[in-house]
Amino acid sequence: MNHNAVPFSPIALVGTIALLGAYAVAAWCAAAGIAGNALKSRRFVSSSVYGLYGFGALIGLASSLMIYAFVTHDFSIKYVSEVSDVTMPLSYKVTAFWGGLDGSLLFWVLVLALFSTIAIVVNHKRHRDMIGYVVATIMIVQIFFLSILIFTKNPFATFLTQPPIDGKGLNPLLQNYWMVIHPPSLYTGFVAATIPFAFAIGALASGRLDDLWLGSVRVWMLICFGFLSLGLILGGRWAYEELGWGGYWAWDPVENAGFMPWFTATAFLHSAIIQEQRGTMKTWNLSLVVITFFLTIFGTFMTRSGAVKSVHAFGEDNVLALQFIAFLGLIACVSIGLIVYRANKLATKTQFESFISREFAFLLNNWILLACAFFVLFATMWPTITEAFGSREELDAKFFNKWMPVLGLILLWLAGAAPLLAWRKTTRERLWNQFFWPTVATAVVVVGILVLFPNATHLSPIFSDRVRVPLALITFGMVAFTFGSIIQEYVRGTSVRMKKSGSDPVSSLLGMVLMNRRKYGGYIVHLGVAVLFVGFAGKAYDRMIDRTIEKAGVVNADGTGTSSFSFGDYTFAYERFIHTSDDHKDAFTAQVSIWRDGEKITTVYPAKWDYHKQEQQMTTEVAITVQPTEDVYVVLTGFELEQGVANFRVYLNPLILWVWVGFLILGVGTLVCLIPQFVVDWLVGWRPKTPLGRAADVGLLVAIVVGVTLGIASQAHAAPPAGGEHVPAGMGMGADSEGWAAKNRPENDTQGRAMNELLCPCGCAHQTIADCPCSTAAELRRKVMDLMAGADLSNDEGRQRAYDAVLAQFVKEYGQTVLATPKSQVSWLLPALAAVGGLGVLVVLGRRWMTHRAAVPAAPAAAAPQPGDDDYADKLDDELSRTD
Amino acid sequence: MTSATIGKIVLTCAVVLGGAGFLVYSAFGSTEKYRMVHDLVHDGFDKWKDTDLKVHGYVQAGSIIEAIEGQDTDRTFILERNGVRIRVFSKGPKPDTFKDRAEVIATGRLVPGADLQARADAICKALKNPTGCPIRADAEQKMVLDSTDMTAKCPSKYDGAPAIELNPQYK
Repeated sequence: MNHNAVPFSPIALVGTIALLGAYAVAAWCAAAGIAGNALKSRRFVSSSVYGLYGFGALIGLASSLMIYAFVTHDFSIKYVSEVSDVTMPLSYKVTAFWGGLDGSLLFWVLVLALFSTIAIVVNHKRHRDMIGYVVATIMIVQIFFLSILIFTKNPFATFLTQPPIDGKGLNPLLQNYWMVIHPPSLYTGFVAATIPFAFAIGALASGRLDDLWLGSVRVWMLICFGFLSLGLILGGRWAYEELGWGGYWAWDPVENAGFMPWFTATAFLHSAIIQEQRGTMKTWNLSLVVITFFLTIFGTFMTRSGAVKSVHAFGEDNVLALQFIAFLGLIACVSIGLIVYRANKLATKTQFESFISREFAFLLNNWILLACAFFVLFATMWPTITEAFGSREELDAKFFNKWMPVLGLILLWLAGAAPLLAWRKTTRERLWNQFFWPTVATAVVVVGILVLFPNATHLSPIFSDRVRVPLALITFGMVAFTFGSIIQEYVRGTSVRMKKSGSDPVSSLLGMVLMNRRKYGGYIVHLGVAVLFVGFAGKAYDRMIDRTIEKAGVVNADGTGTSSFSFGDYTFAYERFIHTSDDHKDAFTAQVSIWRDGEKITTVYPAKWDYHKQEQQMTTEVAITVQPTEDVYVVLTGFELEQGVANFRVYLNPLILWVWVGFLILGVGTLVCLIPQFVVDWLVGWRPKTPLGRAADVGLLVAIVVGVTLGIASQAHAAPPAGGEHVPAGMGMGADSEGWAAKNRPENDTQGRAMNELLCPCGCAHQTIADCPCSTAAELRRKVMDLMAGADLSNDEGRQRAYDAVLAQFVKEYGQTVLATPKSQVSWLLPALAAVGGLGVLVVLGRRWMTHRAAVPAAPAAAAPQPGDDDYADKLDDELSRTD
Repeated sequence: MTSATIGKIVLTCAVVLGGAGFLVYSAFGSTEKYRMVHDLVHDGFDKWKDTDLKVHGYVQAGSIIEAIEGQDTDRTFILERNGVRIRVFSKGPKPDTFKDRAEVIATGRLVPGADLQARADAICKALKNPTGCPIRADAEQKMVLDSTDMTAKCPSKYDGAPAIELNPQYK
């Protein structure tokens, strides 16, 4: 047998065949779709639709094979060996699928195949006269990406020589749980923009330019907006935890690539409302859809061709760059050509009646959002542009931060002001009535901050270093205005609904939201944005310090000493330095206690990890102590192992928590907007008919509320202590060629059972000491074996006693959090209850409101609205009549 | 086309072009210039006065002198490219890959060497074993680079390495 023979990989062969098959199917679908609609042939259209489903199956097969290759360590496939190795946890092996360029392109095709299948299933009967064009457009996009995959970046390409025994491993910076979901979220946002583009091209090609296509497009643009938002915020969170520079957003080109289509998608979501309400801006809306898609492809081009330099760009590739440029040219030519060709059908005559109207506020919002997109594009590409004309010149984050906050604040003000304005024209009376309380809220907040925090008048430069304004203070004022406006809208709407339906405030509120999900979901999004700005404003007050401590452990009882330093209200005591290692990496950890007013508030463990397969590229593992007012962010910036010298950088980041909270609110708002009509219909139809049913209803509601409360409490209790990874001292020094995972394996079932019940403390994501490959786990397994040594394991009772004794000892030493299963088995159900609880409350209260609403004609006793509410009630009825 | 429509178009164009023009003007005034050490010297230092620079070169072997003063770390080293050298001063954290012969991009401004002579003396004074001292700040060039940020790439990884290593000040 020839041991040097190149091994045959059936996975690579079948995967490549699947891609080739998908390529052929895509080509057929594109041709059949265009021919079907152009020739009005139903058979061709059906063929293209079913072909699209088949395409999805082939890509699903190829993707499954790719993941299988990662999980089974098929290093004969080049891509698998480039971005994975045998020691990586399973979760990172699976996510390595999109960890490199080739796989990320396949992932793109997969997500688009999935989305297009859903979009076509839902819409193919509604849009028969354009669905062929829609399928063709999607398939042409797929052909482009498949061409790259098959001819340039085949992820199934195998080695022509003997493959390596082990892979190179995933970039350590990507081995972070946020990175598991951040890239796919951004990709998914990018991909979702293809569906609106396909419908826009379908509408233009078929000439069906009424508002029907708009409904199909809007939902997908909302999905695009939601995933881009998620991707962007997760990217920020990843940067905050992994890069160790104290911030979450530095205008990195790759993140900017996701931000640009986010602006235009947001603009479309607003301008689409004007088209629905007033029948205008058809060309504008089509253009926004095209621009959004164009920017997603442009962003992909930026990050994958080497056009920009970034922390997570994929490196320079001129061939790929040319392919993308050609495709971008095709998109621009076809889109502009079709818009010009249909110019007559797109022309609308309606004029704006007043500048003080909601539609003008939306238009202004669109212009600012477009300006943001253009600005980010310009500043991101500036180094590339200047390099083409001579010397490369870079614009740093300070330049972005001189421009973007101003544009952002205008948008924030519009988020509060636009809902207060009437369509067509706002009378002076209404203007006063609507703007009074939000303006009062602004004044109260600004004056309150000035009185309570006189130092809050921090001046920040805008546009130029010479122009300085109290940007943070203005931001707090704008946030107050937006809060005042949105809360006022909710309060007035709920009040009117209560009077009309006779139901309680909560039912009225939920019913109102469910009946007009887009409007009130949108308001929740605006609230989320306002909360995000609270976090942004806090950035103006952040502080940073660098300290070098030469010796650990010289700390007094109150935290002071030569190993300590003070910063802000805190004292930081460097207690000890710990070096541990496992099969994967060496970890260098500093133990630092944080003190305030002579009391220790927590102990944190900032660290540096040196991955064995990625020498010279240590990762920074920061320790963050989260508080509502400010995060205390400790970074180990350097160390000298032998002397025990440690360099620290500490950031005090005020209000940063509210960035993440704001995003959660924004996410809830987006989900509310996406609740399908059939869910609301189901709520209306589901009514208990008997007293027993109604009693069960109330019981369910009570159970849900109790479940939610207990669930939240349980989660809070189960949360690990704030700070970095805690690595017990003195364990696992040095690497071992046999691997730590193989050391101290259980000798009997009782030991194995106990090891499977104890969580590993060294950073493995929720792994037990039985599974975790680090040195600490090996030491703890030894400890379990030692504790059981001499125990009587000959009968069930003895085995149980030994098992209980080991667990009790570990709980005594490390606390309850060491247990993989909490003491009370019921507590496992509580998080699930919490998740289901929110939905349950909506169901029950929504149903109650629906019941009330249905009963209104038979309930004349309900209080009649006051005359002053009539306008508002009319406005609400008008909007409710146009529910999704 | 009515005069009102023409007026709107003119106004829109003026706003867009004016904004874009100001943006470009502002960008020119805010850029950090990338320069190799030898280009910097060749261009003449006066050209780069009060300008944020990103200076690229290699750390001259044996030139790194670092001291801990109180709880602050201060260091100086020589950056070299094509036989031309310039002294760099830097405080605080350094990249993990910062060492002799490492490829470095130092961000900062040029200042007269004489202005930082006291800082050079303080570094030497804080050293227990003052190898390389005393330091004459203006020995290499009359100007030195006062660096606020550094990125470094390990010398062994230079060929074909895809990107420079991140440091804690990554922006």
